[in-house]
Amino acid sequence: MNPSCAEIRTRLDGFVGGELDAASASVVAVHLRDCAACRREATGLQQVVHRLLGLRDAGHPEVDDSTFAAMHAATMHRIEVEVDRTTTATPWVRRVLPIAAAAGLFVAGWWMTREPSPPSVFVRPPIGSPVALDRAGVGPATFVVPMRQLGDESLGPASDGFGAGLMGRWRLRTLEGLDTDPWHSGREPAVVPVRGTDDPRR
Amino acid sequence: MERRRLVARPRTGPTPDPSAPTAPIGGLPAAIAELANAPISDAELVRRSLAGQQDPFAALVARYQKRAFWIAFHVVGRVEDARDVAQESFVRLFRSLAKFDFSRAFYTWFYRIVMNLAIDQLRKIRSGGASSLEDFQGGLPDAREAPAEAPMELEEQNGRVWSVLERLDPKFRAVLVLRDIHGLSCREIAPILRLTHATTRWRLHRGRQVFREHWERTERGGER
Repeated sequence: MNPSCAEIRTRLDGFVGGELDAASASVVAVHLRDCAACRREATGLQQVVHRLLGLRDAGHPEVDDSTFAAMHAATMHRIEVEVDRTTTATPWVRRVLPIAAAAGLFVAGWWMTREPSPPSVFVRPPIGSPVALDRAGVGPATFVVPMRQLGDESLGPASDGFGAGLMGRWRLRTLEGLDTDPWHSGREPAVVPVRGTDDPRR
Repeated sequence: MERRRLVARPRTGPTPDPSAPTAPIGGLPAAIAELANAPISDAELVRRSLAGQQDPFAALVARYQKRAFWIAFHVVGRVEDARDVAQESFVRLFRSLAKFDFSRAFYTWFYRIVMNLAIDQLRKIRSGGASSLEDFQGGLPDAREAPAEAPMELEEQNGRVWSVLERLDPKFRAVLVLRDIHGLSCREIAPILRLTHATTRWRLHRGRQVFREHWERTERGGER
């Protein structure tokens, strides 16, 4: 079977470079005998190879054996410098310690100058408002979230607004619905008298 | 008209075998020259170097420095840069000697170092806007091995070859240098350039096509 020109051209580089086995080279050679277009292509490739080969043969007028002898000496000198550098290298500890010390100082400085974090909810004192009166409406009171255990009626029935079950242990603290809320009652907020200062009864 | 036989023309000189030791360099210490020419494999020289001996490494340098230099020269186009690339290649080789894979060919690994450095240097030269033709302009062919053409024509041809090479992309130039100038096969080139065999063959094919296109343009006088 005669291979097509497209098939032959895929092998031309190998043919020109002498990389094809004998059987493949023979097939290409037979095709080139009869196909002028492929022959022109092969000739062009061969000229490229020949021209590049000319550079290998050309060499350079300034390069000879003495150049390479000097190059060899210079290379071995650089290798000796490399050997000296690696044998007198600083132990890794002495290189790592300064870096570790610098990192430690940085972390300590950051720790000391950072913003203090807010206290935990669990240790936060209950929010006291100077504006509330207690249930009896007598003295100053603070907003206390009434909490009760399950089944405990001491704070009134669940319909009292405190809910039942686990959720009944909490009462959502809002200003609405609180009878003693002075903001809604229109009363003046009570000021806790401090003896010796603002106490009008002094 | 007699038809020319279209077979690969024999090279004008010994086919460079990358794994064969080179001729002894004059001026070397006798022990190193002897070791360089001894029938000792490159892997064995590497083993002895790793054991702490320095002469085996010097012998490796003596074996490969010519090829390293010429490969670098044909990639970068300057003697000084090629010398620096060759020396730096040996220094890097020394530093990474412990990582040598004894199951692979030494020259594949070493030529990869050389090609990487040479291509980097070529890119630096090009980004600096300088031409790598400087060292070649005025160079003379080797009269002992030149093909049967007038010397002036050959010199002019070589100058034109350099100017065309200068226009090639480094990836095509690398393959053409290794294949057509230094005689490595595509199978040998592929691991050096970390390519597949198919990619290497494609770059060789495409590189030769682009070379021809640029050559024809210079012949028409379109660019120089």
